[in-house]
Amino acid sequence: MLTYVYSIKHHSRHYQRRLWEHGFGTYEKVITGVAELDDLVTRVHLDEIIKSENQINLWTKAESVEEVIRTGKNFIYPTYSKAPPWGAARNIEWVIETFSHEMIEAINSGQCNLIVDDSFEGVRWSNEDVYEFKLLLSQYNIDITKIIVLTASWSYIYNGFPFRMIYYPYAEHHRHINSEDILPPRKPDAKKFLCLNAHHRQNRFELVYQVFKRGMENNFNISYLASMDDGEDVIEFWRGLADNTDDPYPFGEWDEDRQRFLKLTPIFYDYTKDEIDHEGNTNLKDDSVENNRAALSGTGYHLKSKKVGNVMSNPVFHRENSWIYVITETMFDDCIGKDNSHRDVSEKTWKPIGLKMPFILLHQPFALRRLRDIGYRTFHTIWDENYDEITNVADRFNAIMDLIESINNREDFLDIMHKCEEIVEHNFQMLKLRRPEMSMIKECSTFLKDG
Amino acid sequence: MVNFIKISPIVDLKKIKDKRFILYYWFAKNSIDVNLMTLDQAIDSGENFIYTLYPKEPWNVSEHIKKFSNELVDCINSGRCNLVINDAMEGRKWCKNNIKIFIDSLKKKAIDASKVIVLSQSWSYIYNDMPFRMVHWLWHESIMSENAKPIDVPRHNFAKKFICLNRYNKQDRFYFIYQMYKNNLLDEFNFSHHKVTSKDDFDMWDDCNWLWTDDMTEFAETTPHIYDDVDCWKGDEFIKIDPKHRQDNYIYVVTESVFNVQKPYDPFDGMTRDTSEKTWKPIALKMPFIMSHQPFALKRLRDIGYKTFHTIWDESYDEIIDCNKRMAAIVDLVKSLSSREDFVDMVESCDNIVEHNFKMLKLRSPEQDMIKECSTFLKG
Repeated sequence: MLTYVYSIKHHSRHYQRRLWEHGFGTYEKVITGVAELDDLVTRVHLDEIIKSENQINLWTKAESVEEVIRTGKNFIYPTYSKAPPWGAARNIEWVIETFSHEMIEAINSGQCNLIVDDSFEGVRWSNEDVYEFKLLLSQYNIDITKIIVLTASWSYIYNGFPFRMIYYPYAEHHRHINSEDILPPRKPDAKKFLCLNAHHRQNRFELVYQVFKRGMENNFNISYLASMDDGEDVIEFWRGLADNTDDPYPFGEWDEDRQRFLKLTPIFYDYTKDEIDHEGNTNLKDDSVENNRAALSGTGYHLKSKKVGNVMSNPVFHRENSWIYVITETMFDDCIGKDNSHRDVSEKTWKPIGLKMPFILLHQPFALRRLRDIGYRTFHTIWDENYDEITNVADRFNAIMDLIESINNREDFLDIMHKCEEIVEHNFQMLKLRRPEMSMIKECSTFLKDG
Repeated sequence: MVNFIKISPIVDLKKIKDKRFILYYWFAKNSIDVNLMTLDQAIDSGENFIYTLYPKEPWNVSEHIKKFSNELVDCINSGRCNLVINDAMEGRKWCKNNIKIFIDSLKKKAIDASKVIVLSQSWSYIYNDMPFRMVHWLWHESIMSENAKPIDVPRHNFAKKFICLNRYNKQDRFYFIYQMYKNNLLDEFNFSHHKVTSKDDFDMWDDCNWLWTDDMTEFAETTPHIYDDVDCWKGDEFIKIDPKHRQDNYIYVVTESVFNVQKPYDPFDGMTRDTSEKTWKPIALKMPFIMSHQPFALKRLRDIGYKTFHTIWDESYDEIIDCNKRMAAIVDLVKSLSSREDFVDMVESCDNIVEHNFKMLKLRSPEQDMIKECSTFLKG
C-alpha cells in the first residue's frame, strides 16, 4: 500500500500549487512530502506529520527532480495549464518542454504521476482539446495514459478519456477546511439579499440592472465591479457585445437604459462610501488597509489594481448583514450542444453554505439537482426552485428574477428565513462531513507501473 | 399540505407491512403535511393530488390505467394530479422499446406523458431527457438511513473474516463463491447460496464470462448453503439490519444484483443502477466492504459522500470494465486480505472510514428530489 507521496515543488507561488497540497495535507492516511514549504498552513501540517509516530522517512528536501528519480521512489509532479490560450487545461507545454529524458522515462514507467491541476476551474474538454493534448504529449514521447488531469467539472466524473481524468471539486474542499461552526446572528438592519459580482458577465450585469429597475436595491447588499482582467475598457467591451449579432445579448435588447446603467458601475458593497471617490478610486491612505479589506471581502477586489485578489475569503459580516445569498456563478448557459459540460458550483456557492445562509443560484441548469444528489438540501419546500430545470437561458433568468421579487415582497420574510434554518444547518453539517478529495487522493497515489 | 390518494386500487396495502414503502411516508418525515383522500374526494375537491402506481415493470402500465375515469385523466392532463409510477425500489433499464411501450400505453388512454412522473433507482437517469418526468430516488438509502441505529457491538472471538450473502441465483455470485471454494477460503466465510445443480438454474449463464466446468458441478452439489436462515422476500426482512452480521464477521463482501460492463458515461447505451440495500447494510453496521457490482460503483459512492477503502487495500477493481478481469481482481483481493497476518489490525484501521460512512448515511436525505418533483404540479 501507499506509504509516501513525494511532491516536487515546481511553481509554488502559483495559487493552484497550494490548492493541490491542501488535498493531500488534510487527508489522514497519506503523507505528503513537500520539497520546500512556502505557506504556514502546510508548514504546521508537516510538523504534525513529523511528530507522528506512524510516519517515518519523511521526504524533506529535494534538490532536483532527477535526485528523486534516482531514489526509485514514486512521486507526484503537479502542474497546471498556462495561458495562452485561456481556458484550455491541456496547455502544459511550458513545463514539459523543460523535462529531461529521465523525467519522461519516470512518467512513462509509472514512477511519476504527472498531474495537470484544473480542480479550481474545470474547463471544458472538446474533442479538439483532447486531440491537441494527445498531439502535444506524443511530441514529447509522453504516454498519455499515465497523465492525471484534475477537473472541477462533474461532467467528467465517469468518463472515457484517453488520460486519467479525475473529478476533484477543490472549492468545496477548501470551504470544508475553512468553515467554522461559530457564526454570529443577523444584525437588526440586515438586508434581505446579498449579491457580489466582481468580473463582468452578462447574467451578472442583467441581475444587478434588474434589481435596480425593479426597485429592490434598498433590500440588497450588492456589488458590480465590472472588473476586466486585461485592462480593457468595460464600456467598450459591453458596446462590442451589444453590437455582436452572432451572439446577441440574451436578456432582451441592449438598450440605452442598460447603457446608462452601466455607466453607474462600479457598484461597491464591501467599501464604505467615504472610502471611495466619485470615480471609484479608494481614498484609503494606507495600502495595507485596502489589501486587508480586499482579502476580507467576498470578491477580494483591489480598488487600485482593479484586480480580484483572494476570492476564497468568506467574511462573517456577509451573514451578519444579509439574509439570502444570491449567487451569480461564472457559467449561465443552457448546457445543450455537442461539447456541453456541467461545471461544478465554484467557491461562490460554497460561501453561503459555509455561512449557513439560504441561497438562490444563477448557474447552469440542474445545478441544484446536482447539489441534492451529493447530499445537500435546497429550498424547494420553502420557495419555487423550478428555475433549476429551465434550460433556456432567458427563461431561467426571468424565473429567478421573478422568484427574487416575490421573496422580496413577502410579508412573512423573516418567518420563511427561520424555516430555512434546518436546511442551512444540514448543509453546513454536510459540508463538514463530505470529503470530496477522495477520488483525487486515490488516483494520485496510484502509480501505474509498466506491464 | 400535499394530498395523496389513500389506496391505490392495484396495490393491496395489507400485504405491505412497512408504511415506508408508501410514498407519503417520506413527505411526512420531511415535515410536509399529508392529507389522505379517496380518489373521488380528490377529484371533487378541485385540489392538487398525487396518485401512485407500483407496477412490476414501470413501463407496463396498461392494466393499471385502463380503468381510469375521464375525470382522472383530465386531472392528470391539467396538472392537478401527479400520476407517479414508483420504481424506486428497483430502477429498471429503460431501453427505447420500453419507452415506446410506456408512451403508447399513455397515449391510448389520452394521458399527456409529459405530466407523468417515474421514480427510478438508477442513477443513469438523474439528468435525463425522457419524454416524461423521470426522477432519481435512492429509496434503499432512504430506508436504510431510517433503519440504521448506532451500533458498537464488538466482534465475537469466533468471528469469520468475511460475510457474503446470496439468495437469488446469479452467475457472478455463484462464480465468486465457487472461487472461494476452489481457493479453500470458504472456512473464512459466513456465506449463503441457493441450491444449484447446473447452469440451467440461472436466468442467464454466459459462457463468455465463465465456462461451466466439472469443478463447478462438484461445488454445486454442496449447495444450498444457509447462514442467516431468513427468507428475505417475506415482508420487510430484506431491509432488516442484523447486528449479528457485524458480530460474526469482519468484512462484508457485497454481491449486488447487477454485475456487467455497463458504464455510466454511456447512460443510454447501458444502465447503471445505484447500490441496493445490500450495500447499505454494511454501512449501517459500520463494517468495511468489498463490492461486486457494475464498474465505478465505488466512485459513485465517493461522489455522493461516502468513503471507500482505497487507503487500506487495493480498490482498482472498481474501474475495471471487463467482467472477467473485475471478478478476478475481486477474488485476488479477498485472497490477499485473507492471508494477511495483521487482518484484525487492518480491519480496525477502517474504523474512521466506517464511522464516517455511518454518519453520512444518517445525514443524507436522498428523497429530496422525489419530494420536489411529486409536489410540483405542472399547470397549463
